[in-house]
Amino acid sequence: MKNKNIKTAKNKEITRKEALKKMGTYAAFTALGTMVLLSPKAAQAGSTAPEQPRRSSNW
Amino acid sequence: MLNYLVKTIGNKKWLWFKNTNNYLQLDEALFQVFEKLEQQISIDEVVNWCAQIYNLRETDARKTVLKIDALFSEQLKEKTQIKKEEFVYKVPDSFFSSKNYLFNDFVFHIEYGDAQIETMLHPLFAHLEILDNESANQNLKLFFQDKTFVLNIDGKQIGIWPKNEDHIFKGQVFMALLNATYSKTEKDWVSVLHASAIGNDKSSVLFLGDSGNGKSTASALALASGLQLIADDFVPIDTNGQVLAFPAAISVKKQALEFLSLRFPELLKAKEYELKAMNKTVRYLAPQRLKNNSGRPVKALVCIQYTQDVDFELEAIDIHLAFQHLVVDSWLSPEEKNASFFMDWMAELPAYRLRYSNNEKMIAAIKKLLNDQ
Repeated sequence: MKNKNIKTAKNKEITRKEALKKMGTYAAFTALGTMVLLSPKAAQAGSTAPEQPRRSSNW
Repeated sequence: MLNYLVKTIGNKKWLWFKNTNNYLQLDEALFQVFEKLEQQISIDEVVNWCAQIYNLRETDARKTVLKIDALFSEQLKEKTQIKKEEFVYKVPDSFFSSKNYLFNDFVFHIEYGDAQIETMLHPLFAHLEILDNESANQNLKLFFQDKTFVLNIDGKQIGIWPKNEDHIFKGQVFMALLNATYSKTEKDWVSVLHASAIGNDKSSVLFLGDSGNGKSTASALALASGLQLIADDFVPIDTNGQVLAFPAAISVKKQALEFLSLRFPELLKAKEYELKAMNKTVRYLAPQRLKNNSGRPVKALVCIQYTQDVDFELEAIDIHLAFQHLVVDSWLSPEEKNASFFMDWMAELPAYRLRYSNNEKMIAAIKKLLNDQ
């Protein structure tokens, strides 16, 4: 039971880390202060173009 | 030769890594540890030095040194270049549609391979469409073949992107339009910010904010009050730190429609589009045509937020936080000189948080920021 809890907690931590990385931010906390790693986006365009589901078999 | 840049900004260091195009903010003490590691001093020696100088327990000092070592090693690692053999796609014999757009005395002829690609781009530029068949300055063919997006300009294949990189494909089309309009190449841009740029003939202010915070609504309000919309959602910054106009339409969400249609009645008749991935419905509002398309210096960054329970509140925010917000939400040039310029430029910019529900006060504050010396 105890082990199961530890596993769940670890999984949660990984998920949070992954989520931060996905957002382009990774923070590391140390005894001497904080490091924040920032990743810019690969695409230049914004996020507001409409989309439509592809109907052709090409997708 | 160093493959990173370092700037001292207030009480922190900002670093840029050439191999990854990532940025790092860290405290001075942590940077000193990195410098020791850079001098090829052994981990054990650095741990001892760190424990002594900063009065840390050996275990804490070791954890810190190892974290720094791991992070920097990852960022400084040489990138292995995978040479992709680029297949040249066959340009289709016929296209779904073709349209001409006029911006800045430049005529673009865009051919869309299918309805989906047309819908991805045309609503943002529909207000620039010209119906007469003037000879175009540039011809773009956009199509999807073998699960791949293809961008072809003036008969040359510029790039290909897999289906899941549709946002990069769209970004490259925007970039192609931008470069042609201003006779520049990608290297001539320091960044393209996910922000809104509002201004007058001489200067601009950038609105930042997470999606849903009301950036575009605030931009539309500013537009209604006589200010200029320089760019929305795609804000190009040149190597002088100036914002250049980009004429894509403003997206107006359903929640803001009733309110904004009082000022822009044309929105009531505008076609509605569904952004499925973002779970929202939008209409597009055409920006006004600017008489002056030259660059405008940026006076301030404003993290804007519409909040019903706050009448008006403007407060200065930490530039380190503003930097974090901007970097992860924007495209930043991987060129060393541009990265260096970007950090210097950001460090000098005043940054604010503006929360409001009183539109008049919000607009008055933006006008004041624009006119401040």
